[in-house]
Amino acid sequence: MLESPQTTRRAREILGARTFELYKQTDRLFAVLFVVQWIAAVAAAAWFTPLSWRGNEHYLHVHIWASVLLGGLLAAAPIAMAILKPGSMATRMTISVAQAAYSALLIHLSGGRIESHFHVFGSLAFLAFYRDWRVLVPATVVVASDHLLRGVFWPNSVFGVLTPSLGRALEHAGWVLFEDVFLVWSCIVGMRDMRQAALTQAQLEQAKASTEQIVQQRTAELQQRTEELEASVREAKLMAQKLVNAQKLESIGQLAAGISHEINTPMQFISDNTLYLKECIDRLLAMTEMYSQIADMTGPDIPWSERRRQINAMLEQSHYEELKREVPAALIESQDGIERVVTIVRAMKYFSHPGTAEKELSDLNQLVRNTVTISRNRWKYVAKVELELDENLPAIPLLPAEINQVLLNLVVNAADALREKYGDLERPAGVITIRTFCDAENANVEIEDNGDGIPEEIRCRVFDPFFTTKEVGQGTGQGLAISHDIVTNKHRGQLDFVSRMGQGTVFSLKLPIADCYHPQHPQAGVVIAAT
Amino acid sequence: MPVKATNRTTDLACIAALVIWLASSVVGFSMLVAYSQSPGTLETPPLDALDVDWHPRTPFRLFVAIHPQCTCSRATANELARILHDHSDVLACKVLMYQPESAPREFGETWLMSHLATLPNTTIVRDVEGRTARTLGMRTSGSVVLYGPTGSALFYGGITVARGHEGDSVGSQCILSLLENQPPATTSTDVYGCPLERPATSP
Repeated sequence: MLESPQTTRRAREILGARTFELYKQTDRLFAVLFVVQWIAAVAAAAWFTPLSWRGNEHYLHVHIWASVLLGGLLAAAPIAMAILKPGSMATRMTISVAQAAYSALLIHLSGGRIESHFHVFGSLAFLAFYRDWRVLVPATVVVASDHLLRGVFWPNSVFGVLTPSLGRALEHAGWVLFEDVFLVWSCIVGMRDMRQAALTQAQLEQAKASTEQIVQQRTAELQQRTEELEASVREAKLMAQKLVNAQKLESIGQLAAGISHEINTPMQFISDNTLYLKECIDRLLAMTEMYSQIADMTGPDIPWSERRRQINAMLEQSHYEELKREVPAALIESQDGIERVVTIVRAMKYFSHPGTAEKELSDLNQLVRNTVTISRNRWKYVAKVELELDENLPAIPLLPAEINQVLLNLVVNAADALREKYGDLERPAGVITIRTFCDAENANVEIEDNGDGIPEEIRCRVFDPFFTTKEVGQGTGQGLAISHDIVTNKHRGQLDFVSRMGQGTVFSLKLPIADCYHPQHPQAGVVIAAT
Repeated sequence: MPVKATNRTTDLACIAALVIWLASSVVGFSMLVAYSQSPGTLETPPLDALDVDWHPRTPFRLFVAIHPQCTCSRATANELARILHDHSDVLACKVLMYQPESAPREFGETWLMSHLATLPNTTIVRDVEGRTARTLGMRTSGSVVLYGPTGSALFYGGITVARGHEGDSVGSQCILSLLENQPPATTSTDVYGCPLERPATSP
């Protein structure tokens, strides 16, 4: 990994913190060591040289005082520095000097024993714990100076010879330097390792920070995408709803001409009948007037035979027999027409209802009847509709407006399939059979036609959005896709079909009847919604 | 007071304390070394030791005066052990153990005397009040006198460099030289140890 200035700076910070911590820890170790050494010095003095004698009298040995006072003095400064200024260079240097001095003290107190000289080498090794080669310098200087100065100016005190011995002093200092070489090397290597470790950590931190930054950036992007996606989903749902409404309006629109025709036909003959009845009433009023005049006995004296002749002439002139026969017929026919219009209008009103968000218990048979009524103009020239409705069908919890749309799509599709096969005829050859029935779990609606059936190769695409076999302008290809969505997603039902080529197609609509109302097994607390 | 100035004052105080500490340590060490290097009383021995009834077969005779309780003399015992280790065939050693008159016999039962008793060709005798030692000019524990084959004194003094300090010493080297018929660097050295006589005020 490349070292950026930032990484280098951070590595330097980490190294500084770690070395400072190392210095502090080692300072504390030395503080403890000095206490131990002090105790050891007093113990050594007490053990080896407790008393001095003069004849038969004794007194406390100078070494005891030296161990207590000088040993305490030597330990006091480094301990104080370790407490007051831990980790500082001054502390390390003080400890270095004091440790070398302690070597001299212990050697002295032990009577110059060879074994005690190992304290010098042990101390140097201990000082190397700092991994700071500079710390070795004061200790080495103290040891070397002691040997050099005493070797030159006081040889008997250290080498046991009277003549100055610079060579031996150098030899002694040389052994110390010999150890120093390795200790300095280990300090440099140790510090290099620490530096490398600090650099590695800095690089890891930078990589982590970079990764976190990338993660945050990606998270922000992902969040933005999620929000966009949620907005898209909301929009899609809205669009889907609009599409459903559009498809519904399309269906109604396509039916509008036929419905208007269905309304117009009865309205036409109602109008004709009304005109005819008006004429008939005029004639009846005229007859009534004439009856009144003929029956007037206050005027000229006209014989009854003449009066009878005039009445007969008037009845014949007014086509009374026709009136007697046609007026009731016209009224019945008009009443029938009005009922047809009312039925259509009621069905239209039901269809055009915007629907509800919550399901309501509905009469599925009534929905079928409404659909058949609304779509009559689409099928009456190509088929006759046979209804085989189970009158014991329970009320089903459903969205009536949505199911109406499904039924309308299926009926219109069946009619279109029959028109494709038979064309428009005076006497339609096609049959659309709509049956309803109930099983243990579902209320079922089957819409069967005897058309050509659906070709094998397109059966798997029937419920695909925008798939249609109709000519452009005849359909959007959304009818069955929306119907499938309404049945499966909004009602947890099933919409399937079975088709046989040349024989026709049966669409099966299954709607769960959970919590539904069954007339033969009414459940308490369940209310049939108005249908 | 600003923090910077406070730190500076603290640093100066610290430096001053360290300097004082360093100086005190140097002084302390100097005093210790000076004590260690302060020799005891030594007199010239008689030219021969005819008055001492001891006639070993070895050509060289070494008299050593030891205060059994003197811790400084342990170093002398160790140096003596080194000398005798290689030269016990030519050197016999007689240790004159200081025994105060008023002290019990257990006075001399110390680790030091036990150690000396293990040395080769070495004899230990009680020297009441150090009288014998004094006849040989030895008034300090750790003093030695070497007599040669002719019966004359060849070397006297101490065989340690300081009080209780082991290691090479001029005295040891001189004795070894004489044992090997080599001329010694000197015939006398300082001796470091406890005095073998009572203080003047002592009863």
